[in-house]
Amino acid sequence: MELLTFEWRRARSIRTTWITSLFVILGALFFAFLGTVSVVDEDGTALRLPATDLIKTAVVDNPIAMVLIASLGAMAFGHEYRYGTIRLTLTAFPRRPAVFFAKFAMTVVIALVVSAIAVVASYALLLALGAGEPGGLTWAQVALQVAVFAVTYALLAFSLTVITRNHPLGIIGPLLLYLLELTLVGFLGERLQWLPKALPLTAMQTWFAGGAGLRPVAVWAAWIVGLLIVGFVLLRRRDA
Amino acid sequence: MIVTASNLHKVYGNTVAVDDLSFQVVPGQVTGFLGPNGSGKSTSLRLMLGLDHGRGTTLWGGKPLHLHRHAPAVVGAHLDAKFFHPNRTARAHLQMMAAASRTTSKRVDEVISLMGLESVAKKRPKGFSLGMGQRLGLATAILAEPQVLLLDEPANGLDPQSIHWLRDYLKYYASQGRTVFVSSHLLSEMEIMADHVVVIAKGRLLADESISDFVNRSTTNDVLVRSPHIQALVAALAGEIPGVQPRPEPPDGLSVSGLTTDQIGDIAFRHGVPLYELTKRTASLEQAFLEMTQAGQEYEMGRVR
Ligand SMILES: Nc1ncnc2c1ncn2[C@@H]1O[C@H](COP(=O)(O)OP(=O)(O)OP(=O)(O)O)[C@@H](O)[C@H]1O
Ligand SMILES: [Mg+2]
Repeated sequence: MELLTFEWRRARSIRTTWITSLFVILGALFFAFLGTVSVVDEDGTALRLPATDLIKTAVVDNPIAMVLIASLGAMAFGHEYRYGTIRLTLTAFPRRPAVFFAKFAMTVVIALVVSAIAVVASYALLLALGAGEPGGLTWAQVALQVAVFAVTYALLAFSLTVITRNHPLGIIGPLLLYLLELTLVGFLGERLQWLPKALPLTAMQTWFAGGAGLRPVAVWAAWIVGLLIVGFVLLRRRDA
Repeated sequence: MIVTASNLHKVYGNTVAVDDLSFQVVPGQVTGFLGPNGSGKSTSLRLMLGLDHGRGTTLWGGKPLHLHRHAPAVVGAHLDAKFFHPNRTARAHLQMMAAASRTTSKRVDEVISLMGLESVAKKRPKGFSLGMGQRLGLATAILAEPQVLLLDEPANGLDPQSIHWLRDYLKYYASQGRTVFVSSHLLSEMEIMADHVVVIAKGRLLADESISDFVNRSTTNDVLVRSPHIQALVAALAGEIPGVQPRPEPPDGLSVSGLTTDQIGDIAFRHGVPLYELTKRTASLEQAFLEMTQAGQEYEMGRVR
C-alpha cells in the first residue's frame, strides 16, 4: 500500500506528468477540431469523417499523441534511472517485483484516466460542433479501443524503458519500432506474407483500423506481455 | 540492530571490486568505513542494500533486508548527493520518501529544519550546490529514524560548520542505541567521530577493530628520547634488547619503536645515560591508514619528489 502511495506521490510531484497529460487532452481536442474543418476530398468538397474515426485519430492514432502517451509510460522508470532515484526506491522497497507491479499499475491507471478524459473531451467538442454521426462502431467500442491502445502503447514504452534504462529511448522507442516495422514490411512484406501479421505495431494498427478480428490484438498483446516479462526479469536480475 | 555482512563479493568485468568481505556493524557506536579510492566501499554498501547483485549476504538484525516487513524502519541510506529529480522540490522529494516510510508531514518539516533546508525546501534541486544535495540526501536517510544509517561520504562538500554538526549528530544518533556506518576520506573527522573502523583496500578487509587498536598497530607509534649522549644510549638499548633499531632524530633525539617509555627510562638509568626528554608519540588515524593501505592502493598518486 505504501508502495502505491509512494508511486502516486512520485508521479504527481513533477510537472512533466501534468503537462504531458494536459497535452494529450489538448492535442486530442485540437486534432478533433481540425478533423471537422479541414478534411476535404479530391474535388475540394468537405468530407465528413465518421466522428468515431475522428476520435480514434485525434486521441491516440497520430504521431504526436503516440509520443505523448509513450512519455507517460516511460516516466515510470525513466526518471528513476536517469536521476539515480531507483536506488532510493529499491532501498525503501527491496522487493523488486512489488516495485515493478506498482509502477505497472500506476502506468495503466494514468494512461487510462488521461485517454478517457481525452475521449470524453473530444466527443463533447464534436457534439458541440455538430460534427458527424458515428461510423460503424458504437461510442463504447471506440472508447474501449482508444483505452486499450493508450494503455498498451504506454506499457510498450514502459517496458522499453525498464529494459534499456534509457528514458528518451523509452519515449521515442515505440515510434522508432513502428518505422522499423514499416521499413521491414516494405522490403520483405511481398515475400514473407506472415510478417505484417506478426509485427507488433503493424498488427495493432490492423486491429485498430477494425480488420481481421481479434487475431491482431492477440499478437500485439503477446508482444507487450513478452516485453514486460523481459523487463521484469531484467529489473530483478540487474544491479540497480 | 546488528548488521552482519558475510563474504560480500562483486566482480565487474575483470575487476574484483569487493573480495570476500565480511564484517559486523554494531549499534551504539559510530563505525567508520575507510579505504582508498576505488577500494570498493560504495560497491560494498550497494551490495549490503541488495542494490547490486553479487555473492554474499547481509543480515539486518538477523534477517535479510527484503524479509523485513518495513525496510525504511530498518535502514536509511545516503549513497549520493545527486539522487533526486531536478524538478521535484526538496519538500516534495521528502514527502514522497515519507510515503514510502509511513512518516508524517510533521516529521518532514522537522527534518527540513534539522538539516537547515528551510530556505530551499520549495526550490527545485536542479540548482542545488553539492552541500545542499548532501543535506537533502541526509534528510532522506534520517527521515524515518531508521535503526541503521548507512552513509557514503556524507561530509563531502559540506562546509566546516555542517561537518561539525554532522559529526555531533551521528554520535548522538548512535548513542540512542542505533547503528551508524559511515564512509569518509576525512580521517581527522573520522578520528573524532568513530569508535570503530572497518578498513578495506582492493576490496579486501584490512582491519575491523576499534580506532585505538587500529592506530596502535602503526609502526609510527614510537618514543622520542633526547639525550646529550646519544651514542651511549644506542649502545645501551642494543645491549639489552637485541633487534631494537633506534633511528636518530637530529640534533639530539632518537626515535625508538617497540619499547615503552618505562623500559627506555629504566635502561638509561641502569647505564647512567642522562635523558632530557622521553615522549610517547601516537600515530594519527591518517598515519595509520596510510601505512596500512599503502600496499593496497589501487590508484597511487605520483609521489612528490
Ligand atoms: N558500475 C561499475 N562498473 C564497473 N566497475 C565498477 C562499477 N562500480 C565500481 N566499479 C569498480 O569497482 C571498484 C570499486 O569502486 P567503488 O566505487 O566501490 O570504490 P570506493 O571505495 O567507493 O571509491 P571512492 O573512495 O573513490 O568512492 C573500482 O575499481 C571501480 O572502478
Ligand atoms: Mg565511493
